[in-house]
Amino acid sequence: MSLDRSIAPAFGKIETIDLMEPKLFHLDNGLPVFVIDSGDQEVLKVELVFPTGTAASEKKLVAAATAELLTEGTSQHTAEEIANALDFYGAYFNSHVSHDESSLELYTLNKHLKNTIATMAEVYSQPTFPEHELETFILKGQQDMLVNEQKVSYLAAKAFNATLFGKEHPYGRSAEQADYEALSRNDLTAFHQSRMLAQVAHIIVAGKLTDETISVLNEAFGQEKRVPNERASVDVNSPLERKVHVEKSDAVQNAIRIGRILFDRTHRDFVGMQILCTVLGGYFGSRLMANIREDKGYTYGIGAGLVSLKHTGYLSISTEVGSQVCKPALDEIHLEIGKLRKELIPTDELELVRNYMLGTILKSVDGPFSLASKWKTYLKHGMGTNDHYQLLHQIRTITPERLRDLANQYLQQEDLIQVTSGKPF
Amino acid sequence: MGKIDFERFELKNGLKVIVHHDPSTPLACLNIMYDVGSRDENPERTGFAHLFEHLMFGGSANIPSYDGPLQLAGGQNNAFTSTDITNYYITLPAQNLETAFWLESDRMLNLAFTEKSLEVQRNVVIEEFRQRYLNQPYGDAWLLMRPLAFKTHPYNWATIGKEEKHIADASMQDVKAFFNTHYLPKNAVMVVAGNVTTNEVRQLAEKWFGPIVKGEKPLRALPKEPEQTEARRLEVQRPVPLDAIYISFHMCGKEDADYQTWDLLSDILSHGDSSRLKQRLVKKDRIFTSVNAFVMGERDPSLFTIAGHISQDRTVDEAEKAIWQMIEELRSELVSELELEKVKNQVEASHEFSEMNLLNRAIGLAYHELLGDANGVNLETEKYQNVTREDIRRVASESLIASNSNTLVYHKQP
Repeated sequence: MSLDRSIAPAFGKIETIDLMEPKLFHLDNGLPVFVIDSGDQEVLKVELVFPTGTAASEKKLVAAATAELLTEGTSQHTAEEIANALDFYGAYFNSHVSHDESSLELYTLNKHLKNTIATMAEVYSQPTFPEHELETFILKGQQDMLVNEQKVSYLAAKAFNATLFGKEHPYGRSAEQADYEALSRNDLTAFHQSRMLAQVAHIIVAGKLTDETISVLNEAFGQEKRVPNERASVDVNSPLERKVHVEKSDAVQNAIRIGRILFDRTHRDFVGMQILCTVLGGYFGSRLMANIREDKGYTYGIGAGLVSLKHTGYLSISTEVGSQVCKPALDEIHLEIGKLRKELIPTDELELVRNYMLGTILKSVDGPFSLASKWKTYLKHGMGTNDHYQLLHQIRTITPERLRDLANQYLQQEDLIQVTSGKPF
Repeated sequence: MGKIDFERFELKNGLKVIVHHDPSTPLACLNIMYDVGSRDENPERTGFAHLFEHLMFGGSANIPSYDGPLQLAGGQNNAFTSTDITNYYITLPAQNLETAFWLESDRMLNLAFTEKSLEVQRNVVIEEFRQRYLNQPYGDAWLLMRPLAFKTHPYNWATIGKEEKHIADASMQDVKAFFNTHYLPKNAVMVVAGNVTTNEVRQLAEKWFGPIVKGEKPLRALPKEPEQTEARRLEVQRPVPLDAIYISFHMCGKEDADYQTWDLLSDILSHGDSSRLKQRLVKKDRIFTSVNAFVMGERDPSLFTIAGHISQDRTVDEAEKAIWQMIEELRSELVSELELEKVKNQVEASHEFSEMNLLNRAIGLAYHELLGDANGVNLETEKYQNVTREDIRRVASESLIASNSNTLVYHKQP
């Protein structure tokens, strides 16, 4: 009885992937709390989500500075006292600021929830944004920026956003040194008052719930009156330039970004384009990886993906390649995109991508924290369980013909923007 | 706190297998850790363990493509190499577990190297070298610090290798010899975790790994690093925007009784915003824009490092003095009960958060089994709890001294 190792063992397809729905509670003031009660570890993540991000402020850096400095002093405690209060219980805050959303997360052991949530409530409702903390933020931010400006990936990413949306557009702009100097305490106080205190969207809680979790939250966040959230709309114009190179002549690798504006996650073609992007550059065996890394050895890695913002979205192909092979790498990328327009994706390859994507979705809904981030995205876009099942359905049934049509509709070479940074080539 | 349950058995060829049953997930992880890292390399052929990790994805004796069949079964995989170990992992739907056994056993059985895949992976690794170490500000710090701090022990070089040339020169013969020496059942630990049963794992392990020839576990006789007796220093000029300083001290290895004390020492200095370096040197005195203390977590005696980027308007001299002042306090004064309790609480919480992740649990079990007993993963937190204030002061005063220091300074170009 010898084992024939050349024959793959039978494997099953992923038939269904259940998406656990959060339980919805309302605090006394009406604030919605979405609860994902799961997991074995005695831990909890509490996330306050605000419907405003960097796009909501006229002045650059205000949203980021406000979120960052929330924890740097309140009317009752100094930054050091706050840090101590949290560190002592092994808990920590994370603040996130994206274009359309900000949030403050607390990671804590259940047994310390009462203490840590009290600190969270305090930094949320009574921050003072001390002058000297703002000054530290500014000095550190400016100097970190100098370090980042030595990285071709940073230079390319910045130029890519500016080229896609425009340098002054809420989605296209990036901070410059001078923007740090222009920040004032008043900006932060005003942003906090109008955008964070008044407009918290919801709370997402994930982990192992105890009997008292909701009442603790209610005491911390359920008392002050809140107005329902409203999100500013953002208009998008067509890019003015197609090709941009940011020179950094001492680079040994050039960074490449190729892409275009598309649409947000709720668009009917989003899932189709997501599948197409996966074929192109969304996994280890993708066409770009197979060609540019595994066949040519030009790069350590290359990827393609869709980025969904609240009001639009874009395609981004990104890599860093040896400076001497920048030109051939660009040619190969365009060649692979061209193939998607001209040829049908073979059924074997598409089958593999379908199964791979289902496998990643299975993983993305496993565990309370993964579920929480999945629901954060869904809530941001007003999506729900139906969209999840629709996604699974489309992954299983989309045809090679449909994918070729999408490539022709959305991936014409003249519509793609190309940004590079590094040596001239 | 949560204990990770597991069962253990060994195949006749010496492969150790650990099973961790977690019915709450639809997934399974298969993790194989080989007892080989860059410390096992020939000093004239460095970067090899890591280059080899890349080649492991180039197809095996009976399976031309490693990734394709795994992706078809809904799985994902990756690997990493350190100075001590090389670790490969797969996550996939638990129902397709056998696919993982099939793939991993075939590449332990025999690889199918081609000249082409060797040539391509040499290039890929050279690009990785450039992307991560050469094309980043301060990216070459460990390429400089390791040879400064280690004169005889192979921690003298970083996992990526000493230089591009070593990678470029790797020959087919080298690759085959490396495989035959290190990729043996007796030199590996396999952990299968998730929605799996021990029976099922035993059956699959016997079927797929059982027939692999036993081989001999390679002997390891690494040169010991002699005690350092004089302060060492290296100053370099680079196109960096801020000056930077790294000070590394020799410390004990991972299995030493003092390891947890060293780790807590680094936490006292820089874990969280309330830590000493953050509060004093970044926020209060603004000498650094960022500064950290950390241990490498290596098995053999290794390094404890304090490293930071110096504010534009401050000097290297001021920064260096400030670090030594912080060290002096640790050497002369006991930390408070409260501060020690804080860092112990941080360790406990980090452990809980990390163990939410199935793969982290699998890797933890594999690593501890490699050290001798998988259950070590469940005893870690307690070891930290036993550290005393006196331990902290003792270790600091014995070892955080000038004659044990290796200082690397980056000067920005004028």
